Amino acid sequence: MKNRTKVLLFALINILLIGTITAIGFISGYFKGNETTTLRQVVNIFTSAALFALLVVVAIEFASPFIVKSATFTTAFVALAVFLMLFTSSDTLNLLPSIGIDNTHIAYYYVFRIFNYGSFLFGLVFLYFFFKQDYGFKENKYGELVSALVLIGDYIVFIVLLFFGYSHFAFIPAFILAFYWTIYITHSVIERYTFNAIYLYSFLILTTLVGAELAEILNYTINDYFHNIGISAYSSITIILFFFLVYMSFTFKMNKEAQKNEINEKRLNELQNNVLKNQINPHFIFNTLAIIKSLYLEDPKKGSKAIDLFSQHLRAYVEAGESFLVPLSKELDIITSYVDLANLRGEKQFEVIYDIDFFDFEVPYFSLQPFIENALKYSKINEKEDGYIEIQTFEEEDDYMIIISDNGVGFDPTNVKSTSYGIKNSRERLRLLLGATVSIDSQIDKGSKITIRIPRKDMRNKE
Amino acid sequence: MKIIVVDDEIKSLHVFLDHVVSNTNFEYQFFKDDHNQILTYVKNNEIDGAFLDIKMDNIYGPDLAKELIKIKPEIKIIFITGLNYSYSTLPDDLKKNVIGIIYKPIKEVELSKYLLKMANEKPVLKVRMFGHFDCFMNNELVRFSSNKSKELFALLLTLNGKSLTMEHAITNLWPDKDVDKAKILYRDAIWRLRQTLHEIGFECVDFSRALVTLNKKKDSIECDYWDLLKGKDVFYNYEFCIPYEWSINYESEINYLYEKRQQFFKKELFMR
Repeated sequence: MKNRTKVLLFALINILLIGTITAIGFISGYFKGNETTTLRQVVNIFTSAALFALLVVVAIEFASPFIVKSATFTTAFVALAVFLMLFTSSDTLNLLPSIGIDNTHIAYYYVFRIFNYGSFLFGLVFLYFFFKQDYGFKENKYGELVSALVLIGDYIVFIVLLFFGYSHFAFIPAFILAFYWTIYITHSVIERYTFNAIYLYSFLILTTLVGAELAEILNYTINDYFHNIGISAYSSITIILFFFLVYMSFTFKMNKEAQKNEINEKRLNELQNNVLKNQINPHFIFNTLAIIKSLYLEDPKKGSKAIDLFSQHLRAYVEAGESFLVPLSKELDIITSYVDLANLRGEKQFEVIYDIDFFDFEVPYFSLQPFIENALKYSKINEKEDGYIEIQTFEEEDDYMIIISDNGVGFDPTNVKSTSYGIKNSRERLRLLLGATVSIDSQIDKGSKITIRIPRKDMRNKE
Repeated sequence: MKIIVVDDEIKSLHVFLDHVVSNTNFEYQFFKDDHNQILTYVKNNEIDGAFLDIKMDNIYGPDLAKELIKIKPEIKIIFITGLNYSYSTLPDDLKKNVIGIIYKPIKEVELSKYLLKMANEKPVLKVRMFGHFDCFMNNELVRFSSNKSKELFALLLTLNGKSLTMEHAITNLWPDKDVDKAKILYRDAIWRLRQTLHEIGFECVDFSRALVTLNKKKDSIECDYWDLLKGKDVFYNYEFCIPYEWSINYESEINYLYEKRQQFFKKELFMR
């Protein structure tokens, strides 16, 4: 199915859901008339307790020595928004006479309505941030500006309608808002290809929030507001419980991911250390120094060039101790200096041919070199006349591709897999850091071909 | 330009000092890591720039830099280091004054790049096409990553500003290879040329899929062949772009141009 169709379908389902909740809320509010039961008060107390529990959980996380996740901030704000919404609902308005305040004054109505609707918007804004920060909502500066303008404009229209006696039409901006948000968030979800439990929970929250608020507004505008009961207390429970669930599952998932990352980090450090240990071995260092010495005796200029190459190579090791990834063009420079050094050493020369179509991405340090070493070792290209290794890079729709091929004698790939530690190490680091796959294809007498497929960053979170 | 150089080991700076001395625009004063001596000197003398080591026995380079900036807010600082120290790791209050970091062992090309930057001069690429083809960045010989990439650059320069197409390059540089192999070799030369120009900090070429063009940095290229075309008085020894085979195609035209020019100059001399 095409994306556009998916968006429309998803939006339609969402609008239907909102519609249903609105209808139920409206009908229940319309027919219940002006009963104020003790049940409703119990419900209110229960809702407040649930909300309080949520706030306590958030507070504990704030106070704990661990790093506070951005999800916690947004959760706190959404909880605050829902609390404000509840506090300014019709229930609270109806409770006012019991503490001796006359609720018939028209100002209370306006103040409560504005705050109620305002906190509803507030909640939506922070739900948006919840999506954006923690789910990497597609970055869209223009979209954010439009959202902000729509929200502000909508709010102004709402207030104008309310104050100039057209309160019957105040549900129109609310509908616009519901529609806009449904489309906007749905679209972003589809763009990111992510359909998991947390997303669905969040949708339910949003749906309930929008539906409940619409019902509330409808009841206000069509019924006489003093007789209105609405569903805000019931819906608030739903909202809070849903949000609680989302928050818990989110935290759980984050913890799991953090654990996984921790294990990966340990493993990566180990792999990286092994690479460095393998690269800076005494054999390599002293051999190179010996060659440099003899080059100096031959021609000081050649010796000086060799020193430059060697120090460039050593510098790369030092840098590799500080980060895992290196821009591709730099990794290729490291390979060039490696090949030039190797050519200084050997009697037979070989060359690496670069066919670089795209280089705006990163690879793990020294992750390509083992494949070059391997080609040298098994394909014997330096023994062949006109032997060469070719490194080719280009981009495909979803991946960056690196192909390392040679015209050597080839080897049995099943054999090499078990013997070359360097290749295994590279493979694992490519997989852990970039989610890349490596395939080795070699035929005796025809040379070998190594294909590295690195998924683009924005595709990596695809689940 | 007056500069100071601070390092606790003079030996590692040999190449460097040779250069500063040979470059007549620079006057330098060398200091070991004696804190008071340096500050007194800087307070009492006009100083434009400073080369500082980072890790010395008695002073820490960035700390010294901060004090120098206090005395001379416009001072330009270059760090010389064997450490893995990058611009982003510098304290923020130094970033305005630090114009570069040079790593030991010092590469001549790298050093001349920063000397130019310190003197606030535009980098100039000198190209010698008469005789053996070579390029010089601030009097330092440019080392190309491969012979073919150097040859490709030479071919591009003979076009005097016009774009070099892949076909033209292949017919001149790889006349014997089959087309597919030649295309790969062409792309290899392109990549290596790009990397070489990037290394010397003079990215004067725009690369597109099958076309190579000099960009507006070409105004900073001094080329003897171009000078001849412009009608300037240049010395020509009847050798062009050695050792490249395709240079024969240009020789007769250049010889003709040069002789015409010589006659013109002789006539002018005679008229006087």
